[in-house]
Amino acid sequence: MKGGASDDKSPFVLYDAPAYARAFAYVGNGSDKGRKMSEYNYVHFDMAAERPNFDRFSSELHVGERAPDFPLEDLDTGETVNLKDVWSTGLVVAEFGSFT
Amino acid sequence: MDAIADRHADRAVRSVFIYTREAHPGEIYRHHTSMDVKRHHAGALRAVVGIKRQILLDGLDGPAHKAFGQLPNMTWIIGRGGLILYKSAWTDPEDVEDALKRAIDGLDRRVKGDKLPFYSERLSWRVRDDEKFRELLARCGPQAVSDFFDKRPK
Repeated sequence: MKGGASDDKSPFVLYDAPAYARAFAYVGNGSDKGRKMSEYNYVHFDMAAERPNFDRFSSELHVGERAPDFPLEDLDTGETVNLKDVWSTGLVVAEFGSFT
Repeated sequence: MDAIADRHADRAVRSVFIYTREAHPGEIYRHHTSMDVKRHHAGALRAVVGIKRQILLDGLDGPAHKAFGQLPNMTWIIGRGGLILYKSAWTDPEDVEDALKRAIDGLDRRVKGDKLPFYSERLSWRVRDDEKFRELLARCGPQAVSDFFDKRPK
């Protein structure tokens, strides 16, 4: 992806400020303290709300079971990649995460 | 994790990064309101953090993330056919590589006929570094720092 501000190495500079501003233009200035955008894409991290996920992790979807398949979007090509096609070629190490 | 990917690429091991919701949104990197925002943030992972692995975006509402446990930084090792070989609530490269090496060895030895798989569980440990984590959150914006450090139970 092209980056307008990517030459600035400050950790506080947004990667591509113009594109980011365009993406947020229709949702206001973000001053929605306390409001959750959606159950999943929360506006504010809330440790108490996320704790149950940690408590459940060991009791759901176990080693030895089959992993679920989902369509994902390749960031670089935009193509849809099915998870099952990734593991069909061999072992897969899948790290889940985000920039934040 | 990129280093692990490089070390084992010749063993038919694919390493991918599945991009989820923002775990610690802030004023600079906000929560996702569209796939465009999600793509933008994932691009930052490549451009700013320097991740080289294939980055795969989950749907906006996180269907894959939810199905795999919805934790902020899990790692899973999955074998051919979708068999889950390792699941971890956090990504600790040392722990992941140990599991990966055992998986590779086990699969090789099973083909030869002198090893059989068995189920086990263990508790693993990761380094806690609040100052480093505070710095990582700060790049997301002051809200990310405040939401975690100011509001966590004492």
